[in-house]
Amino acid sequence: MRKTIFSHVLLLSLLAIADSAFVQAQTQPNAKPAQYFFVVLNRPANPPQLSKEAGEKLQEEHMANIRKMAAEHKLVIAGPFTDDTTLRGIFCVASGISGAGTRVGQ
Amino acid sequence: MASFVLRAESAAQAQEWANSDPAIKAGRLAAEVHGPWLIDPSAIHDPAEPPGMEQYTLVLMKRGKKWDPNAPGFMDVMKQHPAFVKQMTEQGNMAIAGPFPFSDPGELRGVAIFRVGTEQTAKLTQDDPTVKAGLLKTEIHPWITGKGVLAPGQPVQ
Repeated sequence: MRKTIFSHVLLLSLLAIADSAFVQAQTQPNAKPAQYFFVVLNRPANPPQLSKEAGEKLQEEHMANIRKMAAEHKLVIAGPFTDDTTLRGIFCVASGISGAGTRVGQ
Repeated sequence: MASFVLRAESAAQAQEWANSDPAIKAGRLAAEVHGPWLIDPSAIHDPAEPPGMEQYTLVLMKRGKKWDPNAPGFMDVMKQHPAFVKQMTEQGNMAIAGPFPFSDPGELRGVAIFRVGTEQTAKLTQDDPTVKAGLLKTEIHPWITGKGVLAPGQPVQ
């Protein structure tokens, strides 16, 4: 009887350890970098004028670069503003050293 | 001190990555880096398949008339802000929000992305204790991003 209780307690504590290790593994920031930076994309005062074709080509390159940075997990949020101001869009980039940055800037 | 160096390195890296954008290289866009942006990483997901876009409202939280971290009572009001963010998130109004550290200079003190339209966002943010007290003011813009990246928004207008 005593032995059974003991092994139950042992099993429970082993489960508890396994459980907390699992939770830790799930919440460890290793999968994602520790720091995020918010980038505001503005239209400069005097942007170079482009032909329609050159403008379209540049837009395609801009989108291709966004897809590339997203695939590399550097860019985690991106999007344009849909009103018409000098603010054109934002990037949120994931940067820094994994696990080392959580205390930074607090 | 070490953390300062790390942060500086990360900000420089963020700037470098942003500058890899062809539109920035061509001088059609200019990148302004803020951060680190102190957000909950679990609010960000991979884009949905098939890809699409959804409508959000992005709020730039800027210094208000009464912004003064050294003023008595300033921190008391700031401490009420997380409860407002929690409430907005739980009610399904907000997708993600985070401040920039006090050490990050400039007007922009934080960014919040709402899942509802601009008018409703304007109404909701009036109840933010930091806005009520004049510590922060809001600049509200309609904004779209990839479907699935944040908690669901609205159909694109």
